[in-house]
Amino acid sequence: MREAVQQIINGLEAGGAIALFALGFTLLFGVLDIINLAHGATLTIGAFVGYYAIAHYGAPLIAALAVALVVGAITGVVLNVVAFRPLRRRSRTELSALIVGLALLLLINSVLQIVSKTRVYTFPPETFGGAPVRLGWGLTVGRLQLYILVIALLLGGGMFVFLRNTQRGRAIRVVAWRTDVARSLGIPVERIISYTFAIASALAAVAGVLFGLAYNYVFYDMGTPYLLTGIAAVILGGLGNVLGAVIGGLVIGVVGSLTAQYLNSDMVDIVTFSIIGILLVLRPQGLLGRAAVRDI
Amino acid sequence: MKEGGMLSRTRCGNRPHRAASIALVTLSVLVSASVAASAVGHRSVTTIRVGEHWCLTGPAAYAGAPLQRGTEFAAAQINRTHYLGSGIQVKLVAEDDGSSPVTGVTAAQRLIQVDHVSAIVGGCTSAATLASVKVAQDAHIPWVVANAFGPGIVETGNYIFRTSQPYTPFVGELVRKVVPALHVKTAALIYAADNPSLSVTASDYTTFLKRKGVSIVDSEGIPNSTTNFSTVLTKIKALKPQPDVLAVIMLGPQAANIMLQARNDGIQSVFLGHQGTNTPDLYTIAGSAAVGTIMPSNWFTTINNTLNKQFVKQFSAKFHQKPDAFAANGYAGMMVLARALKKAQSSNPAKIQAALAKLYKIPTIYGPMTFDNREGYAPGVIVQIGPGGAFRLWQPPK
Amino acid sequence: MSAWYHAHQAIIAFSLVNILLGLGMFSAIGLGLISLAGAGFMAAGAYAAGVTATRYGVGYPETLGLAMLAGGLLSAVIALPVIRLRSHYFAIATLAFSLVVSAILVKWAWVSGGSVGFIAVPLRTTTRDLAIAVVGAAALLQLIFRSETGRVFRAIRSDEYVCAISGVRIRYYKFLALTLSGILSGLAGGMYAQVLGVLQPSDFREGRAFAILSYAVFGGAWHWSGSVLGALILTWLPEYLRVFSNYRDILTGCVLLGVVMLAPGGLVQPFRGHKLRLFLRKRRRSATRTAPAATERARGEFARLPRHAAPNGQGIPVCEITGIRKRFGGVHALSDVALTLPDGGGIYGLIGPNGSGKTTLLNVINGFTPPDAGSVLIRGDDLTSRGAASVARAGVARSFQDPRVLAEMSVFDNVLIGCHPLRIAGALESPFKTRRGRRDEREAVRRAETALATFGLEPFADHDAGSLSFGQRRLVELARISVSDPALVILDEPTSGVNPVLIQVLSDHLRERRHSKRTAYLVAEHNIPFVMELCDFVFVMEGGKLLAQGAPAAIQRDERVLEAYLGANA
Repeated sequence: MREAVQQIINGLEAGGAIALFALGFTLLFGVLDIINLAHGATLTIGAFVGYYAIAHYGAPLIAALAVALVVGAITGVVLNVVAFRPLRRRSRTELSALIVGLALLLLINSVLQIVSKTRVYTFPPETFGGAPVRLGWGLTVGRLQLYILVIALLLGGGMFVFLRNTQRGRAIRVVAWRTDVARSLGIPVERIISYTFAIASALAAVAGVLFGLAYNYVFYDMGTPYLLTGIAAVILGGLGNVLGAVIGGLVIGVVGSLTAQYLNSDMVDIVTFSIIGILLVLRPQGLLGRAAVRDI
Repeated sequence: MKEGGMLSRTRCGNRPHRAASIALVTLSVLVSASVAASAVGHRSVTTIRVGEHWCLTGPAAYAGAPLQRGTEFAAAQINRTHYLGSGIQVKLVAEDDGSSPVTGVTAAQRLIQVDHVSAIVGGCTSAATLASVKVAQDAHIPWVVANAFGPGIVETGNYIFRTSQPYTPFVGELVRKVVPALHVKTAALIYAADNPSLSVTASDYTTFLKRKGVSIVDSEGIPNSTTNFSTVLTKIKALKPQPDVLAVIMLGPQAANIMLQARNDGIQSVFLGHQGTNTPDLYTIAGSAAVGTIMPSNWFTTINNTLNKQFVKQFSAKFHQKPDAFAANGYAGMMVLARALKKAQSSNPAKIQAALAKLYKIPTIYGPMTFDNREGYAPGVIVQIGPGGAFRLWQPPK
Repeated sequence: MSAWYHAHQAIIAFSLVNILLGLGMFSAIGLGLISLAGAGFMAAGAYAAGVTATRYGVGYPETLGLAMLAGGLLSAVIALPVIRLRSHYFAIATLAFSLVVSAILVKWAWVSGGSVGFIAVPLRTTTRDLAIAVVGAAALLQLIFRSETGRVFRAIRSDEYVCAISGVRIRYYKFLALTLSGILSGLAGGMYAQVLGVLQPSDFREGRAFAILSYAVFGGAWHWSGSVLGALILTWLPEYLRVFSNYRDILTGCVLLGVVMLAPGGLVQPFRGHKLRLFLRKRRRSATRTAPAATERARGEFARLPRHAAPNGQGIPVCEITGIRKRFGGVHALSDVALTLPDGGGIYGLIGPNGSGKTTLLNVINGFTPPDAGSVLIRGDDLTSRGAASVARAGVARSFQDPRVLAEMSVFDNVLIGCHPLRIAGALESPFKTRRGRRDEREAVRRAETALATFGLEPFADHDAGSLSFGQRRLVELARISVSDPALVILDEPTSGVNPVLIQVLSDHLRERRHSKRTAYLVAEHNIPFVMELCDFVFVMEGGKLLAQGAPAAIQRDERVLEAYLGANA
């Protein structure tokens, strides 16, 4: 019994990480209707920034997060201006945007691979968290992992409130719904899109710092697994839905850990992606998604 | 001889003949002098072109760089000491296998068809190597595989040799010795299920442990890219009874993180490692959690034989850091090939192959290596990480 | 030359494998299916060939047959549930599929050799075999491209609504395309296994799936040659860039990025050169044209006639709807609507203020929107909730408020699509130019040319439909509708945005058609004078209900109508 609860806690903590990544991911999909694969690279950039800040310059965590946030936001805006915006101007973008994102992911990963000489960066043992948090009844949770979960929930809720109740947030939602209507309402569509990229990428970079620390692993290709579980999470929660991304991430995390506990670790991928496949067939809009996404 | 003797009969009209003979003698003196000089000097040198086939790019590039360094260090040493004989030098030509079978095959083909090498030393990952050696076998170019230890490689054909044998015997040796010494009754494994080499090691451990009557209470195959180990460690922690040993068969940094977190979670099992954990990184990352880890290996820095001591000393002097297992593999492979080159005294691939086939028991940095059916078997060592991170030979506790 | 070939034999073989994969990808993406399942199909084929060759000693070409079978079966199974998803969701579902296949292969070690993979798969595929496979696949795709099936594929990619109202069974075509993709990718996998000899599950994951997708996107998804070019370049590029060692991947990424951004449609695109394109299309059109003499009887043999073409006066109403209810959230779009269009042709008007439910009613009749309750009978057949394609095949055609055309296809092709419901030769038959297929095509071309002439579109026949003006596109739509001799034509605000000259053309056309008594027209309009002048009978809607119906004169005097509509909007 205790193992089950501990595994659920483990799942929530892993899910919090997935959710944090998925938040920015789903925001970009909602607004731009694209699956931005380069989001994984932004996460890795954040992780590298965090590593240099903390391990090389001894910066405190908050400072590292702040720097990563800024770097992430800038990266997002740059990617938008350099790649996605020119693409939007040209033609039907679904397919091309997918490949552009892929190319950017490869590019950025290769650069990071050269910079890091394919090495895995780790932090000196004193750097992170320290002892796990004890919850009573013998249950524990990693300190940093707990932070991630809490931050994911806070940011998820915060995003939700922001989108619903602030003017900027509402502008984003209008642009997400229909750009032509947004324009006719006088909303500066391109600026809002840049803004969205900045927010989403900042989220990814912050996530990168946290993941690098929490799992003591900074590697040029570390973003790719999160892309896949992130896609799973946003499908589960509904593409474009911020709360859905959080819930989806948590569910994916818990499903993963329970599968590992009661079946075996090598079944986790099979179970996770089969669930996604079946969900797409039965209810493609996910748990909280909008209307049907079937064809005619 | 008296100059006049031969020419005396025609003394009056012989002045031009005299000039000619002076010229003739001078010329012959000069010619013989230069012949003598070249016999001693470096003008006619045979260069044997040897291909290097390492993973310089791609996910395994962290191994390719030190492998190449080891090989090139060996080649430099060979040439500097004229090991192959005066007048024979080795020239290395490197191609990148990209850590994947497809790029590996094209790199092998390039080495053979474009770079015209007489022999190849290399072979990073098992899958890429397996695919690539087929090319060499078809082209009858001998290949000394120096790092990939997966199955089926030397079986490809008679031109394929290997100094990086499967680790199975080492794992077996470790299990055979450690189980009774530590009274091991139960074991658990965590391994990278989608990494071919690590899966093989995991299945080796499983086989040998079972054979020694150890009960495998849990075996968790996780993705190679896993970084969050809470789930799998919770499962291990919940095992009743707790396993006496926990085999951690993941790549270096991840293995270190598992050990770190396991100790934090209160898991007391003795850690068993593998060839990939035979790296100072393990202690750097995991600190005291890594102390006590026992692992099988074909090599470590303080193996006690002359060749190895020299190798470590000279390598450290040149690069200001101790060689790691990859550098050692690269070095050893090149040196074994050099031994055959020395015997063959030729850049003809068939002759090199014949010389390699004749190798039986030779000294290497691993210790004496015995060849059987083209597979080179080293004695192997069981290594343990001692306090302070010192790697030393494992000794059963008193 | 031979030396060069030997030095590069391996990469030549791999590039042929990738070309084959690209052709498989094209089969899907040619319809607009963003498939990431290629990796999974390839894995199926590779392991089918590898396992049977190594474990069961299956002989050489047979293993390739098994590979194709494995890929084809798997794709057929996957296609059924996944076909109805659109774009992104389809992509993700197929990606999930490939990941599950790879994970299963890792787990099923006893079958697949686990992550160690298959070793010593006999290397039996030669470069020549690969070349034959590639040429064969390309030939097949070209046959498809130039046939009605190919036209339908491109139409589906362009606008599925147009396809639906042209009676195209979209899901069937998608199913066929995905199965073809599976067969080709499976074959590629089987050959890959027997060229490389080593298989690992990790070779068939997301990396492979996206690589295959990028061949088609990079090279151009309009024609199969794009995938060939894309696969060739993306396979050879890293090879040529290897001199840059570490930087090779960065440069490859840059090239990929640069090309996709500069040419988002891919490198191979329909000739932008206007004149060249027109010339080629015109030449192709004249090739299909034959002696126009087609007798009545002959026509009866060749084309599948719409059922309503049976002799008139059977008395069955062309369209009868009863008790239709439809809710969208809290809005009652339609409440208990009943309407009958009797047999014998005629022009019927449908008017009502905005929000009265006109468009919803039209959508219900032609099958786009299934009603919550009630029934839709077309010529006596209950087609409620059967979908737009079935309704179209029963002889119902429809135009849209904003004229919908297949923008990248020629006007001629646009009109040809309208003949789709009449064809007897099916999707599998038409690429192979059977007798029936050729007759279908001749008949279709004849009808299309007639329609072009009727609507004055001859000068634009070879232009992209998307390049025409609004009014011209409206005409294209009408031409497309007319070629299949529909029993019922639904026109949704045909005069909106159209200049008076064209309005005149339209009313003349309608008047002329009225004489034939074969076709009924249901015209939803805001242009009251147009309706009152032209229509025999008018239906008035308001607030989701049928307010009144009758002759135009009566309607104009009806008080309820005046109050609800004419009065309020006057």
